[in-house]
Amino acid sequence: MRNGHCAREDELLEALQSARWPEATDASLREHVHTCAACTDLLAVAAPLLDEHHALVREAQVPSSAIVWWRAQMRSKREAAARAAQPITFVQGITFACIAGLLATALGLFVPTFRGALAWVVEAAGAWSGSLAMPVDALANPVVLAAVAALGLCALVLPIAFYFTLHED
Amino acid sequence: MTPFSLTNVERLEAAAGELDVPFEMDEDTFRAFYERTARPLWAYLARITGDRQAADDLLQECYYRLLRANAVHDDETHRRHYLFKIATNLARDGYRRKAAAPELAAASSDVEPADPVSTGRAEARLDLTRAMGQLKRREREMLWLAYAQGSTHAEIGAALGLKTGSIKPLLFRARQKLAGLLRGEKQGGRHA
Repeated sequence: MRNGHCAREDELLEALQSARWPEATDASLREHVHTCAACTDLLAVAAPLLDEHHALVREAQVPSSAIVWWRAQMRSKREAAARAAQPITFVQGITFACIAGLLATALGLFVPTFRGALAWVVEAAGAWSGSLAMPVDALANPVVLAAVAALGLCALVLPIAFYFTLHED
Repeated sequence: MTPFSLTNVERLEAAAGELDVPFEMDEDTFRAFYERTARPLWAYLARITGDRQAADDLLQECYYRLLRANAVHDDETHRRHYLFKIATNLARDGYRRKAAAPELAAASSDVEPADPVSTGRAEARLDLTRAMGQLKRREREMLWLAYAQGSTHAEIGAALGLKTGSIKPLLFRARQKLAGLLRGEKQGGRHA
């Protein structure tokens, strides 16, 4: 026995795995096991583990191979379909964002109330941060105001489009 | 640019659904491999998770991942090790998900003999379940692969993601620990 290991462990394990232990094994091995701590431990552990393995294998109620194969095929096809649809979902998201942007532009151009409300929001934000890059006066121009509104809406909608494109169920 | 509509999406999805998704393994090979490995794999999953229901769920997932990996294996032994590696990783993911619960709290109750042949054998299985429940996850995996499955150190290393050289001392310590626990269980059982 070296470092707690015994040279006859493999022999004992082989006898256990081939169901030759104890009757059909060499008497010297049986005697050895009684005197060797490593082999005693091995016997104490391997025998119940092997019994448990055989019992569990007997008790296992696994689905048939045909069902497992069929399910795997179906799942693989479903995932392939989802992958194929991913760019389409993305394009739909972009389209939706563009439409929303155009609507916002139209609102900015033709609805004075909306223009006034947006100017108020921008003015309030500018007063709060004091570091707005765009002068508030520029928003008096309806085209600039519409463009700002469109960009703002796109900034809101695009992340949502990305989310729906990339998220997994 | 071609405008996309819902109809297009549906058509494309349907087309993708009709695609025959090829796996590296053909059906006959898979079915033969499954017949030889499903029960031992289920036993391994049931023992290391301590939960028969989880073993049922993970079994299908293991084979799906094996097929989806489309890996080319040298031989069946290699494929079998790969399958057990997948099983080990999936079981570990399961542990992480229910990390709040004690690792093998369920094991003591779940993996009990469903139909014990005799009282003595049933008690021995219960002793083993209790003792295994006191081991670390990696110790359980290692002992099961080594002694129940009969895997070599290299195979255990491959399945558990450990160096082959480290298996021998780790296995030795785990074996000593389980042997001690089993002796304790037996003595406890006799005294009870």
